[in-house]
Amino acid sequence: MESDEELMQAVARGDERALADLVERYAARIHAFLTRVVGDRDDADDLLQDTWMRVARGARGFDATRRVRPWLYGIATNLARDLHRRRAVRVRALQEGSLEASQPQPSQRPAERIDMRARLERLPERLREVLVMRYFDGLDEAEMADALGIPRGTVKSRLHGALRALRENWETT
Amino acid sequence: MSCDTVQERLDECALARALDPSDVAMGELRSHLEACEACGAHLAFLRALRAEFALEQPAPVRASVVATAQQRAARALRAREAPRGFGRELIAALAVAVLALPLVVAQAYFVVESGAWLLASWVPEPILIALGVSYLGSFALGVGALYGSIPLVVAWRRRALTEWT
Repeated sequence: MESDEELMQAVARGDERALADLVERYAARIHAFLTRVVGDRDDADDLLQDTWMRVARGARGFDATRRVRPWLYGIATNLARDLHRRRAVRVRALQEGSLEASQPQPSQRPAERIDMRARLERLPERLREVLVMRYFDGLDEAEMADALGIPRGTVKSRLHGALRALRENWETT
Repeated sequence: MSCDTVQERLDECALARALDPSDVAMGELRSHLEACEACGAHLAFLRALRAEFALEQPAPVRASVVATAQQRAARALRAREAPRGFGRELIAALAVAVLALPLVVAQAYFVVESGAWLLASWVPEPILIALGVSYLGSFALGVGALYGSIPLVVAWRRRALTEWT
């Protein structure tokens, strides 16, 4: 089986088959990551599409010395952050009363809540990303640092920060 | 070993899914954990968290979503592979702008002329000339850019359609 990096080199040469293989290989993982980070399956569906569009567009410029997995997670994380920013703008607009509150925000949907997701959603975005990458997706600190463009020490402190925040939350619920 | 160190090690074990008594790192911490209530409580929290995390897995991605992602990504790849064309289109844009120039200059000239005729008795001639030249220049640039953007917009639209449909 070809490695991710070999597939990516083929994609960079315009090989659609290699791209399809890469999507097949990572779609489930990236989708699960996005679902956990953005908290909504439909949004995760959309972001998954966008992630692969960006991969296709950026394939030619992909640095062959990098690993593919952190690059993919980095793209997905940036898209998730963009979505959070759009949501925040919308929430502000709702709070200012310029729009009717027609749809509850993800953190306000207790009926369909499951504890784990609720706990994750209460974490600040930056802490949630690293926790999901590490715990659920098994990325190591170096990969996360590469994906997020931050030093390894920052990854480490965010991971401990996430667990600390979860514990505080745990003790108050 | 301090409690902070032990709890950090426990966090690392939890993140690596290695919290069971049989795991090597846990063996190293055993004596501290047996004696320390606070670290024991932290371990209990981490195990409870693990149990809770294990309960829920996101619904698997639908096959149709994966198929759509593959198709759209392939289109984006094809669009990227298509002749870039922007160099050619830039030349076309410049050509259109240059061809439009005489028309623009003529239009602007008549505007300046009529303006000069109206203002000649109030405004000194050097100022009138400076105003005329700057008006002519900015008008020519603006309209030239407007006409010149047409081939670029057409090219962008063609590329977007290739990618999205």
